[in-house]
Amino acid sequence: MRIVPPAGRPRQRPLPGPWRSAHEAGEYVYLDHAATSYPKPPEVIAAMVEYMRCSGGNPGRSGHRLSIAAAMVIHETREAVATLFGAPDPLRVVFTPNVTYAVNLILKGLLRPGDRVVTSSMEHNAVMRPLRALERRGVKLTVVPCDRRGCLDPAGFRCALAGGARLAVVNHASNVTGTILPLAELSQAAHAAGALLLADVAQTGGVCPVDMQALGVDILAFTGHKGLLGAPGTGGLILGPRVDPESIEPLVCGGTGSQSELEEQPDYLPDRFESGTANGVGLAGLRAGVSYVLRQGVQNIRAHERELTWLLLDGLARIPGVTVHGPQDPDKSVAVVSFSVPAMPAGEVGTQLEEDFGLLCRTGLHCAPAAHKTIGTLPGGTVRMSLGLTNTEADVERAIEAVAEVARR
Amino acid sequence: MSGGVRALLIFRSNAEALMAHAALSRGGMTAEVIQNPHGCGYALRLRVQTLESALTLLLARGVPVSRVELQ
Repeated sequence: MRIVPPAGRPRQRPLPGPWRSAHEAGEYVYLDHAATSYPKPPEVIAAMVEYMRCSGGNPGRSGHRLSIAAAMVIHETREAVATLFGAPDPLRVVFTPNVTYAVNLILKGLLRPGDRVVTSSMEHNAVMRPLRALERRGVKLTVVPCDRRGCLDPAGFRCALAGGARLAVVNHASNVTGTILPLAELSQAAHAAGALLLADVAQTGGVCPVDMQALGVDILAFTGHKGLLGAPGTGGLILGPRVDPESIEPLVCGGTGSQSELEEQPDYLPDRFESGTANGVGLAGLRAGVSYVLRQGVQNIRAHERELTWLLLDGLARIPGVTVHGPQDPDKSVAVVSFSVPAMPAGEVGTQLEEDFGLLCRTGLHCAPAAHKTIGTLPGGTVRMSLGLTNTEADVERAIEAVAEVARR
Repeated sequence: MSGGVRALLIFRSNAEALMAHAALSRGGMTAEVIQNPHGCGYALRLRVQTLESALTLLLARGVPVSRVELQ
């Protein structure tokens, strides 16, 4: 099968170059950016070191200069994240340890027994596990099936919402196939049914344009360590204007550095959902990562990854005995490509790719059994190659040659 | 910021204080983030001559100020 190249695909390359050297000494090629981006830009590492050296106070607690310095870093991160996602109010950006925590906060804080929630069949366990737990407590769950490419028909989603719902929750792009879901249409369907839309942008943040206002997203859950190029241990939520914070019970209560005379949790943002000392060092790195993305331009990053994805899809499609899953269209997916070598378990393919060719990718079920069931790869899973800002055409060519060799064995 | 009467802006939260500080800075106004004299966290201190325009700017930006004190 020949993959048709995208019309007028841009050649603009935002590649940073020098800091690739860490992984491009030739010993290995990192193709696991959907798990976490690597390497990080040097300014991310420098910002984290700088924070530890110079901003050592507890943000928002004490009032001395080191506390203020730390808090300012966190506030600047809040503003950078709001800018990236088109959120008008930085105070509605809530930081959490990761996107899983952010999704859990909303699902467990918002949904009550008897409420109805609608989701897709391509969700990660960050969504499915809390939803299944809530289902056991009386929340009504409807899972709308996607097709074998991971695509979701908005009409089917609209039908599923027809009876009314409290919440619709979907990923923006699958971590298994890269399939991009039509968030704007899904949010319209959700709003028509009186539901809020929670979007998990773990796989699109920083690599695809995501404007939560334009897309009609009410609640956006993001991770800091993938496309935003920050450190693990960072993530968060952005609540849109339709969301009343008081309608969501906090997952954790405690000290916020505000209204300390009260034993009740504050009802305003971000304090309502940010108890305990913040991960200042991680957020310093996130600020630098988001700034890097904004400087490069999300559209440029998208164009780069789209081109590499096309090359990878085209190359894999030419290898006899290899099955590529998902939409096989870089305009309909992010830079996440899943494939199988039917004669060989996915884990074995991954081991050979690393040991014999230095390719680092992820195999198995990717914490998304629902998605694998949808595309027909349960229980064996797939080999997933996910490309990032630092990958090059040479990386993709090396990957295609390696897969061809493994498939011949 | 030495000498003269100064205004102290008190906020519900530290995030609001920092948001106000950023908004004032972008509006070309000078305000200091200082320790909140009434509790933990931060307050803003500015020259009283700039108080009215500071409050106007913060109101326009939707940043709520809980209380104003003169020092």
